[in-house]
Amino acid sequence: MAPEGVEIAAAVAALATFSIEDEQPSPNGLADPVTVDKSSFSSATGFADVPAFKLALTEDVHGLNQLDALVAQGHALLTSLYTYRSCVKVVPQVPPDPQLYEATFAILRVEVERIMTVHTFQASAARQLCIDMQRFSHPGRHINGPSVAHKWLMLRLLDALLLLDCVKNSKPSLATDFAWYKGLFAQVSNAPDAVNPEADNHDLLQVFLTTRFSILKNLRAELGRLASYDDILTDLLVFCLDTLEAERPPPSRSRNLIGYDRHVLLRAVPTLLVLATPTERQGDKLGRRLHPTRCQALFRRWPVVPAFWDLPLTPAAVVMELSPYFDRLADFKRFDVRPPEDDKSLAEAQMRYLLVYKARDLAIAHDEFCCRLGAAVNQIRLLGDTPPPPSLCSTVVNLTLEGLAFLTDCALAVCEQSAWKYAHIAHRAPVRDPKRAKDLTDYERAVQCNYAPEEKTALLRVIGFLKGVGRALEQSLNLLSPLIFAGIYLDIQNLVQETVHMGAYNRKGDVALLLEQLRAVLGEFTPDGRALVNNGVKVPAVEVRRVRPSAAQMYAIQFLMEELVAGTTPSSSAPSNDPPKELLRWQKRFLRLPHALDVKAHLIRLTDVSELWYREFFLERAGTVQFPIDCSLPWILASHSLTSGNPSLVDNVLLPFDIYNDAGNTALYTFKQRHLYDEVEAEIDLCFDQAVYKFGEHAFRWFKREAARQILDPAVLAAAERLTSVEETGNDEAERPPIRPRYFGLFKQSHVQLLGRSVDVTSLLRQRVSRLFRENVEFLLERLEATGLCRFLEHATLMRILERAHALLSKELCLDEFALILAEGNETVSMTSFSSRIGTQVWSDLQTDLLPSFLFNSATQRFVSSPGHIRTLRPPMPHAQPHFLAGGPVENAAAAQLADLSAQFVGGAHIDAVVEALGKQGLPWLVHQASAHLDHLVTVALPSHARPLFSHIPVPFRPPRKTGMSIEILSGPEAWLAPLLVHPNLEGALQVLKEIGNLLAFVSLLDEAVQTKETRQVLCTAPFIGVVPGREGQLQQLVGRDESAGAPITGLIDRALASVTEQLSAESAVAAQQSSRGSRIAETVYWSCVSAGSLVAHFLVQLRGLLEPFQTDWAPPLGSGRADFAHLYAALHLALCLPVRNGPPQPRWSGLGDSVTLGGLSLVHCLGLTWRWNLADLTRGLARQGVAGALGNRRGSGGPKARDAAAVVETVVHLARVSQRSLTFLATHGPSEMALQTASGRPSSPDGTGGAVSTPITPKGLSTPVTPRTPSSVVNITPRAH
Amino acid sequence: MSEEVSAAVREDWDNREFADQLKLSIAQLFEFLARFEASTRDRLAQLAEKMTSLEGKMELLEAQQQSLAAPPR
Repeated sequence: MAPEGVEIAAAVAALATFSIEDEQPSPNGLADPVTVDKSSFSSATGFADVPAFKLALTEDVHGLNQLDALVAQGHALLTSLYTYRSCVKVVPQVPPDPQLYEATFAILRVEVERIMTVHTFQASAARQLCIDMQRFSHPGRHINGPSVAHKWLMLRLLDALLLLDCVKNSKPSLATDFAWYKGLFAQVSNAPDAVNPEADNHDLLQVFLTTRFSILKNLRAELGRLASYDDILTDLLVFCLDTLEAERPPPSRSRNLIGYDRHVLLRAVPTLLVLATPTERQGDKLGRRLHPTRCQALFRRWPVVPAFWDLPLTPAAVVMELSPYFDRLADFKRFDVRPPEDDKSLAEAQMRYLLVYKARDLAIAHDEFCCRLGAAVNQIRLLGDTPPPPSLCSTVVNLTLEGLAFLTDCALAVCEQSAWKYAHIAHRAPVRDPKRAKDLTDYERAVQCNYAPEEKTALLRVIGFLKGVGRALEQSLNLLSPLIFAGIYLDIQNLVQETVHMGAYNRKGDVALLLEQLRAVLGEFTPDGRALVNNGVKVPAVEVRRVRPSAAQMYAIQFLMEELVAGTTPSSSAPSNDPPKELLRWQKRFLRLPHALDVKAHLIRLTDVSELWYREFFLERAGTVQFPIDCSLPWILASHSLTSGNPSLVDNVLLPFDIYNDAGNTALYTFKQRHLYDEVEAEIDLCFDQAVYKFGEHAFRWFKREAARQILDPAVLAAAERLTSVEETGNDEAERPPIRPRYFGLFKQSHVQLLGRSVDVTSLLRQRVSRLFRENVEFLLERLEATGLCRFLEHATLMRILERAHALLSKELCLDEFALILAEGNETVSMTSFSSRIGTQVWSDLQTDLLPSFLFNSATQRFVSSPGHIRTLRPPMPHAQPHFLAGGPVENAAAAQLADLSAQFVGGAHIDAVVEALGKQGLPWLVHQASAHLDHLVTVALPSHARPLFSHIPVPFRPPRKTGMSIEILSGPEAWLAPLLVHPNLEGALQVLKEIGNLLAFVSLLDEAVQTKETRQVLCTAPFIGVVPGREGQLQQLVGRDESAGAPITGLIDRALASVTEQLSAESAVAAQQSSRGSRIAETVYWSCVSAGSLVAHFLVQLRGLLEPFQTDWAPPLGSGRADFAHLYAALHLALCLPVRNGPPQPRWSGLGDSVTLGGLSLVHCLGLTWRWNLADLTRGLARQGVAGALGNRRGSGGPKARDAAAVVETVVHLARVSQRSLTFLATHGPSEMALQTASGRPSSPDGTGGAVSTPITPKGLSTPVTPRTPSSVVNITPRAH
Repeated sequence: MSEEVSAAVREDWDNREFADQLKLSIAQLFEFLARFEASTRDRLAQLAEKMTSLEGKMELLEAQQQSLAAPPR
């Protein structure tokens, strides 16, 4: 058969050559709770091959199997009782109805039959246990006494009976339902109790259910019928105490107890004490053999023991309630097994139960074990097909046992902490809702209020150790198993050799027989009688078997070793190696070795932390169907990993969901209850959605904070941090920069297992985070619509932070492109529409707010809000979630601080941001809207207001001739302008001029922003298009050696294509030529865009065109005797210096700004009336004449009139400067009057004869003629300095 | 103990060795299948990620194409 096995092994080994990659770090525990072995963990017996070895163990095995069956049945009934929920509670309260009675009875009958089964079971179990105990209940019997396996099974059965009692006591609904059933039975059966045979059973069952610890009392009564049972009980008690006292503390690598055996022993001790002391006399008898202080020390060390899921057990309380002996001891104050309840004792006990005190040691042990496991696995892999040395096999066996011991420590620590918390519920309310303190259920107090943040952290970490080590062991189990088997095989063969050697000097009686049996059952010998393995070294040419011993063999070893230890007496002439000591060492080792054969079963049981979810006991106490998820420990832990602020905990957010997996598994395979699985499933669905939601938000917030820290000014951030720190802690030290949470593993979770379903968490996160980005874009756009153009810089900054956060997060998650998200939010998906939400908002703000209501300051180039400006009605401000702004509170404060600096005006930076936000697609639309608005202002609004004013211009309009300025002089123009000043259209005309000026100023700023952007772009592409920085900051094109080569990039393409053209086919050569031509066309188009004209020029040309219909009326030829627009505006200009009649004493200018001048003079400029304006303008003359006098008068008199006059003079001086600045602006940025007149087809000259223009006007955004460019041409591209 | 029992024990060791080898092979096969499933799911998830991204782009292109067909605003 061996060759076939080899073939199978080779075929399976070939599978390892496949490259299977999975980038996901698993958050789950065991990958599959499947085991191919019959576990000896849950049952040490059940084997049928004992008779084959011809040992005298058949009778013992029969007894073991019976006990084992009872234990299994007891555990099944335990789960049945634990998951029992009251039926009466759901019976509808309706008027008496026979049909309802019958239906209720039918339902209750099923449940009552289950309860009856418990009653029957406990009676039969008590009888069977008594029979079994009686076999071993005689003093002085050592050989053939109860084996270790037998003792364990008896203890497990006792434990099951105690747990049944505890669960029954904790379920008052059992008695309630039964009472209801009993009442219904009487009505349904319609027969008196006296003639009904079931009635007696009902009475017994009612007594059974209503009596506390009725099972233990019944067992004690059964034992009382035995002739002698003290010895076996005392033996078991001593076995328990010895085992528990010999247990080494967790850091020890060689633990005696693996799994939950410790709790079995701790629960068995009070049971045995109760059974052994039914009377005070028997108590005294036990006290003589076993001093009660041992029990007292044990109960003080373990005041609380986990009983069954959320049901804790207090061993001392059980003893005190059921044992009259200990009760009497306590009454006489001589001796009390109960642990003291003072604070000091509680604190000491807490240190043994709470994980915060153990987590550090467990972490060290975890790290050490992981290192050693990794080293061992690597060593095995390096060996390849080479047979492993015996030392390595032994190391692997020990390592596996250490791993199981570590898992035991973690699992027990978690379980014991839960029991402590369930037994010591908190009486304080949760911090976030102190008002609910009185309404809290016990479960809320036991879980939600009972775990401090550091305890949650410790619990998360320990669960992580448990799951991580369990999974690591599981993954390497296939590699380790052959070595484990080989190691145990070697141990067995060494044991056989050593015991045979021992038998050489002490071979008599039963011991000799035992040695012979041991040798026959376990030893392997060659046909010539030689041992196959000797002292760990195999005989040459004989392969060490990689096979586990059978369960029967392990049981036989344990049994024979125990008998051997009990029956071996050391010889007086024994050599230095004392045989009993060696035997004890072997005995101890073979008590632990079976665990190494059941690694998978151990892993499944030890990594199961479903007890953290089940709360049937508390549900019974609270009388509710289920608790909200806020009380659920898995969800509390998942939430804590995100909200604790500890970056290293974030990757544990999925870890608590393995608790739900365990709970679901338990519901299906242990409890076998569908409703529990449904509840677990419902809760996990809800919690998982919440977790993904929260985690997505957490990651989004952190990346936004990171982006904000990269973009915002560090000094402002530091100041904001200090401010926040002072507000929160009173400490003015800045916070440390946030540490990046451990997101990496979570972003790779493509197949997380949740109750058997595979969930792509990465995909869910991607959807969630992309949605958050969309919501954030929507929020920012709504915020922009609610704030206006003054806050556009802040909007741009926040949008930039969002874009940077997207870029950072895109490195981890495959998100939708930001341009796409923004296009969706900004509604710029359409290819035929150039409008967008941002563009519409900008234009809306321009039209309704900035142009009519803002004042332009020509010196600072800013628009500021006018005094008394009424805020435009806007949509309400959307609710600001902190992470939708700049990320966190510190970043938000810094961003707000920076934004406040630019929130009171609209300047060049704002317009730069507008240009950046609109892009090439949105800008033409904005220019088009502005152009249309200019059309409306000039052709509709201006004529309606200005035309009536022409008839009110003072004639003759002459400047004052007096020297020096005074208030009297300034009253002169007021008198001249009186007809104009009282005209109702004056203010309207000035408002229209202001809007025209504001529009031109805005266009000017827009032009500068566009040019700056293009300059920046040109600077980036300069090396490719062949330009270098020239003198005075201009870019000068390089003069190439070959003029036909064009730009360097074009030349490069040409040369590359030329070099390969000869080797290409005819078709490819044509394609190459087309490519070359295409590159040249692209270069030409690029240059044509770079050399495009300015927006201001375009608007002035448009303005000139719009004024064409008014040319005759507003710019009449000289000598016609009619007033022209230059004169009208000169009068209006002077009117700006004067205060509004019946208004505040400030000059009109203060409410209109410099843009009136710009608007008026641009009309003058476009009408070709600049020279006439120069003649008609009075402000320059007044300014020259009045500055000195006004200043002198101001010093001399301080009256109100003098102050008003001084203000007027200052306005005159200012307006004179503004007019000069405006004319310079028009001359610099716009085309000359001559060019304007030429463009409109009219001559322009001071005398009206006009002149020729040689330069064509090519405004930006219009179709630009592509003109051939010479390589030596100079491109005047001057970057604007900000 | 007779030679017969000793030989039977040896044969028992042999049989169990074969059985253990078979169990180990089954476990390894199971582990391979589990790893294969995990790897496949991982790759499918990556593929789904790319498909989702392409779907988004396709939707955008469709919307743009429809906007071309619609009358300009």
